[in-house]
Amino acid sequence: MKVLRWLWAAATLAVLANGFRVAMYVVPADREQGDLSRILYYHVPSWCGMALFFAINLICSITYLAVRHRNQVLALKADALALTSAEMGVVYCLIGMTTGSIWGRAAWGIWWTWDARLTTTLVLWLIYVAYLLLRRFASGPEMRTLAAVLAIFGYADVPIVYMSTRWWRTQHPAPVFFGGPNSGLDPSMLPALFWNMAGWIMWGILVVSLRYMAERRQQVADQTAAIAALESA
Amino acid sequence: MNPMFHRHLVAAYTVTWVFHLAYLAYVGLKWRQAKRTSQR
Repeated sequence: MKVLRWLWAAATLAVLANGFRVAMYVVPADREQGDLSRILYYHVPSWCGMALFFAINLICSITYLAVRHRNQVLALKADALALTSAEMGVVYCLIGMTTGSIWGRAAWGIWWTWDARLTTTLVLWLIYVAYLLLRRFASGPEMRTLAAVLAIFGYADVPIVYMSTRWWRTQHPAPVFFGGPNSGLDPSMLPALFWNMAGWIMWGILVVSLRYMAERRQQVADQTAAIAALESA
Repeated sequence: MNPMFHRHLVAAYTVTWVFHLAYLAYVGLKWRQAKRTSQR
């Protein structure tokens, strides 16, 4: 398992290094935005990572609620994965907003605007920060159940964020992918996007797996301590 | 011009790495904490 993790880490760094090389020096610059458009190769993978890890959080939260009375071990595993994927999703969301803000400053002259895409994304980030704060500061057996319910309601904002540029006229550009007949990237730009998307998803899986193991170890230690306290009472 | 001299591009890439590495450091901290708790 340890060897596999090191191999995965080495492969991730290799893919990220190649992704950086392709994004910076292989694919051509955009005709209108020039080199600024290369932000896309870090900006879009962040959103893909966020969508993936929030989806994992949703699945794990549903699993937790479904099995918590029947299979406690599976429920705790699902809960640990829900926590770790939410943390990773929050990091990706923060990176997506920050890189977008830098891009917006250079392209539009503003760091932020209250348009539909940006606002719904900020609300999404705040929902998951609230989820993490709930987990951090609440205690007792109901905390996990409350967090799982909040995660399910919180995920409802993900499709709203995705559809916001389709439903409303926004400062944010129209959808590049699946946005209609005139949308899409030039094929020459796709390799950079592919390598960086693969690299950052691999990175996310690696970090989540490490955080998951730490959380499971903590859960087991807490359970052992609780049993010892009961026995000594 | 070398894209590495584009300040907004460099800022965006740097911010991405800084946030990821900061979270990795937090994960490392949690890992150590959990290891210490389980050894007690």
